[in-house]
Amino acid sequence: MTDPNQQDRAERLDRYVRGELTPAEARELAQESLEDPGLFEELTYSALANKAIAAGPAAGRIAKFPSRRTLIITGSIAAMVALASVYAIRYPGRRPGLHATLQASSGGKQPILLADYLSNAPAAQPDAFRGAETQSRPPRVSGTVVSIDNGAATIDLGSADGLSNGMALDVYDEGGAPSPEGSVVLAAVFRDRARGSIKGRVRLHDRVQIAPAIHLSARMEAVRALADGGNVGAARTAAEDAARWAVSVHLPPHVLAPAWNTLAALRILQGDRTEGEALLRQALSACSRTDPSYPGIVNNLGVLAELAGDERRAEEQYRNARQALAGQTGELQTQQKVVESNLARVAR
Amino acid sequence: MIDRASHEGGEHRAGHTSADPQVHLRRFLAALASRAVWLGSRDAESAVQETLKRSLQHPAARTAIEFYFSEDLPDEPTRPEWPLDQLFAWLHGVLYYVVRDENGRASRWREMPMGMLESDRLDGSRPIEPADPGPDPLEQILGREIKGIVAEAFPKLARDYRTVLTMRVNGMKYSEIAGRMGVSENTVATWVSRGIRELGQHIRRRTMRALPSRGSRK
Repeated sequence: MTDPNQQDRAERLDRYVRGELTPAEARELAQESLEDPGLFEELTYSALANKAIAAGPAAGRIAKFPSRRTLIITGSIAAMVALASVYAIRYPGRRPGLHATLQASSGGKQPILLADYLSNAPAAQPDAFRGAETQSRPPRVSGTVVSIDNGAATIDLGSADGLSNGMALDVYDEGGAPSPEGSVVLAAVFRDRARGSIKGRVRLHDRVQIAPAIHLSARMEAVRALADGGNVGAARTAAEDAARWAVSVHLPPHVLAPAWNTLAALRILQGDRTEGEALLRQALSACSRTDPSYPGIVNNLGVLAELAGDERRAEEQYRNARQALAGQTGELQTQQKVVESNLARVAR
Repeated sequence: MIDRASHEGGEHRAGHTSADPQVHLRRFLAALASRAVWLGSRDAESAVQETLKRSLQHPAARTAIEFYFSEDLPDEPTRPEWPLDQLFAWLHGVLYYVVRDENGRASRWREMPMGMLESDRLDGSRPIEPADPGPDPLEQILGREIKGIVAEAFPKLARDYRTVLTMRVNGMKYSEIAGRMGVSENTVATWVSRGIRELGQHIRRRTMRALPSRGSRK
């Protein structure tokens, strides 16, 4: 159970950071901080982070998003490049023994694919625990409020459905009202349950709806679990189902790009390079250079070019991917290593 | 209200009786003193007095301190120009440089023979530059240190946090971000604040690591 006081404080801190507190509320929080060094500290460092973020692009890797016009122009160019590439790449002279892999530990001998929802791990042994869990409970897109206590609601959805702390879920009247009457801001998330503070009108048995983008992400995490377990065929089927569903609910193309890239990688792993390339082109035209998926998509186009024997084109794509990843740290370092490894092989 | 006569001269002393009208200023000073010790001050009380003096010389900071930290507000208090986060960031900037200045002086004293004035240095070298950053300590500390930490920590944030913060920096509204990401505005708002708070924790950890003899502090 979540402590309502903690929930209240977390909510007030969130509003403090966003500058939403009234002067009176801010004063109350300031007075509280005089008795609580931890709170005083959190208010201080959150404020510093806020100021640094507000200072904008000088903060280094916080990239500028291109304007809609730039996106359209970039998309058009990407589409033209895609058309030209279909004619340019004829897959001449496939090098024997070369095959796409996800294993970053392949010693640089094979072209390595990158996808948001596939792991670049050593050859995975089927993970019985994770695999069994994933298959026993597919992600759900809606659930219900199962209890209400002290201004907090518990719902029958959890991390298995893509939920994480901080998410706000729309809540609808159980009778099927078309617009939400309230929301639940999650403070504690378990595998099949989550609990959070109530905003607006929320009653027992009301329906809770997960945003389509979150549901897609959850389905793609299930794809990852299947692929990690060595079941590429099932992963591909699940990814196709997820992508079809996402299209059916009209998710914007840029939200779909990571799923298309993942599906493309699975297709390529199964030897279907034509369909893989079509999906990569689709993904590329849907996202911008600053999109986190962009380097992986470009890298995978490089893999396809390399498999087709076009090392010059492959080198160009790998260099593009490397450039897009330049200066990144954290989780993207793995991607950098993969791209460097791919580049080193064709640039020899 | 704050007794400016005593504070602007930097002569305020802790230890007033409970009937003292500055009792809640004392709580504020105690909180600042705790921060000063955390930042490595050996003379927290002096550091706090200097911080307060400099802050009260700034009209917006003074109004904000009076509004947010005094115990009793007048019937019609002056609404502060600064939001609370601006004040917290400012106070950190001033205190940080005051403590650095103090540590710089301490090290200079150690380097000089007893009784020797800085102007009397035998080698003719200039004394060590004081750490006092000048008129806007917040701008200084952001430019010199905090932005660098944020730039380093930013890629370590969860992907969703990075995406919403990037869009936010670029001036997009919550509704626009929500439409682009396919999530609700409430989710975007929460991700924005959680992302910033997580960056704040990175700043805290990095500041702690950079402080002398602070390795064991949590």
